[in-house]
Amino acid sequence: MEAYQKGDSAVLPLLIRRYFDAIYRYVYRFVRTPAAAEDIVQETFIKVWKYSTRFKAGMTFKPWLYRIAHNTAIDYLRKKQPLSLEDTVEDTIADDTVALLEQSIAREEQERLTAAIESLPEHYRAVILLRNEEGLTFEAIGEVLGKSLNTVKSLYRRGLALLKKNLEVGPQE
Amino acid sequence: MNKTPLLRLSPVPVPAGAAERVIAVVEARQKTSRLWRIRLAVSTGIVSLGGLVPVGISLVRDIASSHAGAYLSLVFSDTSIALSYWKEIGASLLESVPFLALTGTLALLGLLLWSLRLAARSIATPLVITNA
Repeated sequence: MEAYQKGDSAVLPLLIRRYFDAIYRYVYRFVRTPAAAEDIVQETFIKVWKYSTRFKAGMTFKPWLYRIAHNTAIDYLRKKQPLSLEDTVEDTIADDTVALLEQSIAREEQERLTAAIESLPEHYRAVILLRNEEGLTFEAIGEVLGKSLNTVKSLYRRGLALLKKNLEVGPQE
Repeated sequence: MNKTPLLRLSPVPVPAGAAERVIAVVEARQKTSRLWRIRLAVSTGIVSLGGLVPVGISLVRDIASSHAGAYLSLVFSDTSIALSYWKEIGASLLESVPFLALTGTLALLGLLLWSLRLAARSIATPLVITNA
């Protein structure tokens, strides 16, 4: 990204080709239509070009890119319909149950799992996807979502618990 | 740090050629933006240059007709008097300078320099290079 800021314009297409598939997959999990996903990814990379001067030395490109993509996808969803952000799980999940939840959930069928994740409220969905599908650290996820490390970890725990509940009884939006 | 995805979700098929389409759109936006910047720079440059000539002439005429010219020539011709009476000469100079014309000239000069800078940066910035 620093190379692009210094005027190496050949870098931008390389960045688009490198990250397109990952960003498209992530956005698709929210909007669930190929046309909308492609539009949002296009808008994301247009914003990367427009706001390239806001990328400061020392920042990491991937979380910055995901942050733009995430916010663009959420803006799209909010225009389409107001998001329901209620959560039904109390924040009493202990840290040591996270590993047990992850293992239990991993055994579920792929399609049921995908449907269950895509039915989660967007803030849980984002954390789970960024952690498990995109492989970001909790710190990086915090950068993407603009939240503290503790909040991200809490959202992850609660998201997994809600996901487990949805898999057992069916999606509850 | 990355790890193997724990939750194996249904794969998302990425439309073929989508990345290249996005690159083409970004390139088109860059071209359009660059053209608008060049147009803005050229039109601002023309306006500022067009305004600079009469305002500059007016400034020179005003300085020549005001006492500022006399004080300035005194300062450069007899520096010892200028140093002895620097306060009085300074105050008189300030009173006689045509501030309005001077401000206008400096503002238009600044606008011209800005437009030249914008034009230079817009022309120098290369567009996205796509591999055909």
